[in-house]
Amino acid sequence: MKPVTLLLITALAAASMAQPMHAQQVSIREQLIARGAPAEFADQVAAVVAAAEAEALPTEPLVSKALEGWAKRGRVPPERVLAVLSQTQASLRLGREVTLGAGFDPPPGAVVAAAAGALGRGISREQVLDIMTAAPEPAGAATGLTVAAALAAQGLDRPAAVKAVRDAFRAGRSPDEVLEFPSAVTGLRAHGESLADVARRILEGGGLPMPSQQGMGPQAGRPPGVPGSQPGQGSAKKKGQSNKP
Amino acid sequence: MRRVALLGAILAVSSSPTTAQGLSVLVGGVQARYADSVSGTAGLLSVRLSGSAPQLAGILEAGFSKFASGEWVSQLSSYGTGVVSLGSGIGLGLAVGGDVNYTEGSLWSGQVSAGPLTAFTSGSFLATLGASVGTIRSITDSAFATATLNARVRQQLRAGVALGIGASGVAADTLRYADLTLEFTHTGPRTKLSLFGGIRSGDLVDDPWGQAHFELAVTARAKIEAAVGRYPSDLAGFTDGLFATVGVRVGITRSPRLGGATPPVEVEPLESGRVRVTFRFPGKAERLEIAGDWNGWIPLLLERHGGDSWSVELALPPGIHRYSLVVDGETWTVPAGVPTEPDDFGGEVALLVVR
Repeated sequence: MKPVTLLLITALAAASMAQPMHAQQVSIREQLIARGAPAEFADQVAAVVAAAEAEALPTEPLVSKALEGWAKRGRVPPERVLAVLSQTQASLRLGREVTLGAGFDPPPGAVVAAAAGALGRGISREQVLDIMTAAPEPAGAATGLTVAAALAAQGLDRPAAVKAVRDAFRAGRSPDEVLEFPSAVTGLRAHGESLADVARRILEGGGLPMPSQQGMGPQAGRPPGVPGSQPGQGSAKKKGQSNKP
Repeated sequence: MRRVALLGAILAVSSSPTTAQGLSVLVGGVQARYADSVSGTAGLLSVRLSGSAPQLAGILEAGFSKFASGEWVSQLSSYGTGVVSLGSGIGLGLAVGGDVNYTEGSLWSGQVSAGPLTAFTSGSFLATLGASVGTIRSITDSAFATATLNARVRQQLRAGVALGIGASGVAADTLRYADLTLEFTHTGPRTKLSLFGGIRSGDLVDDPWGQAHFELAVTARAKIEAAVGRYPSDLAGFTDGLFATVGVRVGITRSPRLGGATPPVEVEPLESGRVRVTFRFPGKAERLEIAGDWNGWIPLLLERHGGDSWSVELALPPGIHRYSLVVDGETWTVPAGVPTEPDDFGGEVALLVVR
């Protein structure tokens, strides 16, 4: 990619983040064209985004998905991108509905997007509501739903993924701590645990490891397993006597 | 006076119990020189069993050493913690530890201790405070109670580099002494270097001590471990001494991580909402870029730091961010060993967690 083109794309991306929602529709079209997308494809994407905005749906997931799909155009045809956008739009509609049902009115865009992501990973409406009501605040609901969706995407059983997040919130753990769960699952898998083991561990109430367990560091003294010589000849002595108490 | 030189080696002393998983065997040798100028050389066989369960972590190690002079010694040590998160990075738990040393000729010692442990973690900072009581049976047949109070703080300075300081106070029968320890750890893609040492004040007088421990991963299951240094005297009755060990540790279980292996991605918080993200990417790449949902999937060049270490500074808020790596401007991929999910386009994206 030429530097000038890259600069133009970067400027457009920055501008789109700073502009209001309506202007973003224009931005996504221009961004795609700046990246070499055919005008017809850019128009189709812009139309989807405009329709979502008209439905009061968050458009950021659609914009991001369109740009991701086009960036991967080497293996992703435009038709596939449009199909994914259509699915994402449907998930966003459902996510908005569930978010409203949970009492978020008006529904925050981040929560709607997270709910859509969770629903798109096979998590049921009831389970989404479970997490929303257990979360300490709206931003926490978005985090919890995103984490649950990530756990489900990692292959964890949906009930286990939801239980991990919901129980963590109910136990008073912060959204910040819940963010560690996907990495914890990856770590357990790397240590040889099967997904079934991880799911069972969660469903049996064990939860996932917390970062506060880590980092004990060295102890003062000889390394464990490295014994020394018998006393009496060495320099280690209590002042004026042996080191025996 | 009968003199027995007892040798062994557990080299990954600074590894957290929760990062060492599975069953492994160490075969090696050790050379030691004690405070009274007596030296010994021995072969070593050691078996380590470690594991973690939710909120629990433990390690059990058994070693057998046989000296060139014919004497042998066996050792058994264990350490375990249970920590419950109270939220907001605070944990509360219990630490239990103990060991037994037995030398040919019925000379043995042992100790056991237990006590509460509190931990606080924030980003790359960790602080622990613990207290314990226990009992020791020394090699001179005496037995006495002990009480210990210890505190430690550890800060990750940058990816793979950490610095820590600790302090402890010990009361054992009529003895009172305090230890101040420093530790430095550098973890590379296949290596880990730990430097630590300390000074002691109070009744159990000793010179400053220091040790260097080095690990080199040869394969996913095998690594070379070497250590050299000096250790101080202890309450079990052993004097101080110098030691050097080298051995090969082989993992018996499937775990590829034998102690301090480096995670494939590390996120280090910087100022003004920025983070430095460091990847271990062992694949062939002349140029590596990262593209994610935070900037419209525009590939951004990573800086190479030699070997398979690459890093980049990003302005990312806390949350889960989706990303891919782009190899040589063509291949979209994700690092091995990180959380991933389908990208809805028939591939997958990686998840970057920023706290």
